Amino acid sequence: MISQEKLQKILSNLKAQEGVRGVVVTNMDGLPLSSDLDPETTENVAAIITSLVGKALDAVRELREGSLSFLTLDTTKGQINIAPDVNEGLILVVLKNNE
Amino acid sequence: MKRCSGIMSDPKAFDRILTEIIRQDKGVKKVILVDKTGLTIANVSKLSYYPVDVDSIGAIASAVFCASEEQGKNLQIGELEIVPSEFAEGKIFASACGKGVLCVVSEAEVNIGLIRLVMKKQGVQLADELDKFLAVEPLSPKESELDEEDLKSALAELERV
Repeated sequence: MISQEKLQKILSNLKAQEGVRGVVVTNMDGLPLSSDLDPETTENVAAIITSLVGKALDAVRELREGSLSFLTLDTTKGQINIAPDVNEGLILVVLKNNE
Repeated sequence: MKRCSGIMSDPKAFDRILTEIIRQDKGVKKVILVDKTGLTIANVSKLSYYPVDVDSIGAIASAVFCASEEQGKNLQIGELEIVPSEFAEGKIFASACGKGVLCVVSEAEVNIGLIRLVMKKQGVQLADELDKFLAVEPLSPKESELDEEDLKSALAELERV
């Protein structure tokens, strides 16, 4: 299990990147563990992204494509980068603005 | 004597909203809407053969929710939103929706965040529908007023006794 100190360091490094407008860490139950967004957005992001990751994991398993390592959503506002860690039971979500 | 007010409730609205909730996550098995006295208003199941006593589940969920609500009032910690009950092989969530309680029965492995979100979102719609469904108002005084002749005959009747 990753230590809280190490996690906070990684998150602050990510937040310092240009264009990053939010970083959320959630567990596989869709409950947010850490976020720099407002509570409502955090809850939405955690719940919906976890649901999406669940579907992506199912798809990868059904297609026998190994294991899921990363997901990227390109939107008109920017990008949503999703890094699930099934072993740790955590999902890292980074919201980025268009450059 | 009571009568329905002008706003009519769509009889299928509850089923439509509850079905919307059950479709959100594959782990959701049953959704029940009860009033705060524990009476079942509507329910939907994912599997028609899922053998549960809906009325009893709903009544207990309502009682648990109202008990927790009372705790919150005593502690002055604001309005109660959701009561999750986690079991080894499943979960039960109860949330406020206006004059009712929304109860979701799910498997153990379920996206809790999504269920919370959906219950809050659909809870607002259910509260509106419940308000329409339970909207009753007493007859206006004009309609229920006895006219003078009725009063006179009633008095005459009394005098005879």
